[in-house]
Amino acid sequence: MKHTYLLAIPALLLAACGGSEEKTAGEASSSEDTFKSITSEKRDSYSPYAEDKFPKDVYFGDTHLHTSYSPDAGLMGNRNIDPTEAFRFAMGKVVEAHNGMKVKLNRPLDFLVVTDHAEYFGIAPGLYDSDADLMATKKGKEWIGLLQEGTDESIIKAAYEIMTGKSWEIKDKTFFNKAWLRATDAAEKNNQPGKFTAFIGYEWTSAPSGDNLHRVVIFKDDTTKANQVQPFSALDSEDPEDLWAWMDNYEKKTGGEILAIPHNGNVSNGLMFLDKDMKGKPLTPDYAKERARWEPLIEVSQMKGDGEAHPFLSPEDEFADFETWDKGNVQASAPKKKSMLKYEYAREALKRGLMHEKDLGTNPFKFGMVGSTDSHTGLSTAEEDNQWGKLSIYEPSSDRTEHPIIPAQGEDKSTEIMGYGSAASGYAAVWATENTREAIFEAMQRKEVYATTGPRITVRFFGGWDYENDDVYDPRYAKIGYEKGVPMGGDLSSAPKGKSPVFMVLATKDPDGANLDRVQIVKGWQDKEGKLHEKVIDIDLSDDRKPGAKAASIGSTVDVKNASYKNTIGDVQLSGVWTDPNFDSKQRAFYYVRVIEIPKPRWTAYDANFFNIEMPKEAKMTVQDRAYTSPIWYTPK
Amino acid sequence: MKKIVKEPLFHFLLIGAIIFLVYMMVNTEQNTQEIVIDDNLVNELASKWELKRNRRPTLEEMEGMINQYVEQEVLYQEALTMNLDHNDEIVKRRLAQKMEFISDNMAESLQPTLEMLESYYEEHKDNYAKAPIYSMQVLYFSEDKRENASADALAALNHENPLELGDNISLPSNYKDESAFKITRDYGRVFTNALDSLETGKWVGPVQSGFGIHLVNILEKKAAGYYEFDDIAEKVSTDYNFDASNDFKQELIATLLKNYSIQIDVEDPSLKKELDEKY
Repeated sequence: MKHTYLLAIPALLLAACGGSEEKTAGEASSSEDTFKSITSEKRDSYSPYAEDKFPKDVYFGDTHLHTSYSPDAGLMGNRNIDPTEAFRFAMGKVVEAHNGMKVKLNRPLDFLVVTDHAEYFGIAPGLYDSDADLMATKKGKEWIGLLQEGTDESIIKAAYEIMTGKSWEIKDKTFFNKAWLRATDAAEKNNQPGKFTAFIGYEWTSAPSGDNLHRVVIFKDDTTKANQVQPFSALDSEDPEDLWAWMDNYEKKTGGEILAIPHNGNVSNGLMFLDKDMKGKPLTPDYAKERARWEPLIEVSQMKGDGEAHPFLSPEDEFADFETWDKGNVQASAPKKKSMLKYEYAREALKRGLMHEKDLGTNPFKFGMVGSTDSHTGLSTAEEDNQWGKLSIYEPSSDRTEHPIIPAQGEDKSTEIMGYGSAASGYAAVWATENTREAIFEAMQRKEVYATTGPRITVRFFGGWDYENDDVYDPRYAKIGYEKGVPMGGDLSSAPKGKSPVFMVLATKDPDGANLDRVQIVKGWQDKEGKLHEKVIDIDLSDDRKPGAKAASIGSTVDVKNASYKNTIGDVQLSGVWTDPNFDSKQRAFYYVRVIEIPKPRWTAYDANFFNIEMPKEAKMTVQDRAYTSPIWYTPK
Repeated sequence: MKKIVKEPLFHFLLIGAIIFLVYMMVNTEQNTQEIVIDDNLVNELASKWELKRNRRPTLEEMEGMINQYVEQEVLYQEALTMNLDHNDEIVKRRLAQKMEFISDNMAESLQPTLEMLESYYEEHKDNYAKAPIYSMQVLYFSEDKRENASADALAALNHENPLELGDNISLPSNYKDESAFKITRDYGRVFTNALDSLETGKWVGPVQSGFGIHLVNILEKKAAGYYEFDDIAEKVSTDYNFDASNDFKQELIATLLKNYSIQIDVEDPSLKKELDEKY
């Protein structure tokens, strides 16, 4: 009783103060000068944080995950993990996998976009359940029959027809609309603003002649808007320009917002960042504008390999060969030619974007970077010691590494990637003001995001003209970062006379993961003659190595046999302030950060250790996971 | 033609056809069976049609549906008479599936009452615990910068103001009423788990995190308690339904199993042991 009484006193006092303040303001309004001085006094708060508007937290999530609602997932082992289960798993719940084992994430994710394939969305559970609306269609009935027959041949026949179809064989969309509503409802029910964000999304799965042009499509909106449409699919059109037109239509129709994230340029056989459109015509200013508008990001790392850089394109970069998939296209139906590579990898595309911008007025490849899993198990796993594979049939087992992930269709097996070639990657990191659909979506639009290949490394990256060397040691360095410049994804232009851009980087290891080896800035630019260049610069190195000439290797503490390592090498945090010594204010350029961890056992080593098996000699057994930030661009005025 | 005659499949089909014919001849005298076409059927067919196409069927379309129905019924009855449903893998699987659906539907139809949800909430209260709330100071001793971070941290415990002795790291060094959920995001799981058992009101340590060694001064720890039922009723209901349909199926199978005695006749001793224990 006494306590309640005491508590009331400050409240009364506050109320009294408020009253007198109002009175003062009222009096002041008679004289304009006094009024001004009073209001300016009221503006400044003693609290240094009260006016902070910038993002203080980084949120980790997966923008690309398939469940039993994706035909390929559902027909290849994923019977039970639907969108609801996938959200539960991402929130840190224990789930039973298809191999009967229990599975759980090390730490919950902050957000998830379930992105099932738009083509025959949700069909697999419908076929297994003999859904009446599917039974009422000719093809639906036929496929249900094939699945019920239950032989390997009959299932493969149905799966093959469903997954390689080029146009809708089921014209009646009753079933698919039902499935879409179920999926959006699952996102709606699991969205918990402030704690866990569940986005509505899907995948547009275009792959002309087996060359990958896939895009994930993400809605900022809730079901009231997203339910007004059905996903635009590759069976409607394989041309990304048609997808963008549909997205434009969606925004006009509903007042909502939507964006697309392309992925796996590495299996596009030269198509993803080509300098021609689908009709074979050179890119136009309109194409560049539309692409830049709808595709602010690309997914640069996932289970089907890493697409930041390729050793053929970046021979000077000792870290360029990372989880490389360069044997063929996404259906393993055509081999890779060296000439395709420059149209497939992010760094090269960022460089070519500068060139296009000069010619077209807009940079069509001005993208930020995220990682995601593209897992088809409904289990969003990207860590080396908790790798649940690409498809449910490749969940942990003693022989999962021996099968090709995508079997070649002809005699030529050179296009196949075997199971051990799958990467345990990656996640999307987003600097947002809060964990909500709105804040995360807006951060994606302004590209204040970065990719990790699995670990939850924290990276801050700022560019401006006035950073001091010790700004990065200020506890409020982030505030300084925003005040004096722009964060990752931002733009610099009109260099002040005689000044070069200064970049501030700070990277912190995953608290539950490996130490850091080094932090680098990757610069790309176009010179006077129009030629494109790149350079990788070490900004900070662990274990007292100094940036400069080629740094010594960090070494390794990995014990492959026991699948273990020690954090006795590397640093917890690396940082630096770097001024570009070769800056030319008339040349277009971009800068992004790459953070590299010390070596760890790769997931293949954990498999070998757990199942007590020998891995094929070709399998890599250690890995240096990493993070790539979105670039900061410099554009001369 | 010669080739076909040698095909095993051809033999199989031939034998099948012969059996079928013989069976038909033997069974012709059997009582004729009834197939009823009544208004119930007509209405059912019509409403199914309407559901899909948003209109009533024409006379012709209705005739077509009835025709299909009769054909299916005749073949179905004959298949039953011939015991074709017995020991057929596909039929077995389909029927088992149907039972599962019935079980799922039953579980879903058993909408829990408020009381059931509340008692579920009580039983699983740990799932609805809030992360504890801390107000505390954190000091960092870098293993990268020091020879022996643990020893330095221990020594700092005896210093009158340990705050002067820590290293810089770009993480909060002060928390005011912050949830352990957020502290885990910053410092990792190992660190937050360690907080649980620490004394409050003074500097303690060393405490390990993924970043190195820390001293912490927990000014206040509020056991955050549990989310109120009313605030998370929807979540409780989702969890309840999730568990209920799993439990229901398990129980249904267990109950049905009581009507069966399972004979185990396998050679492999370890498999036999497993099975004997299970059944």
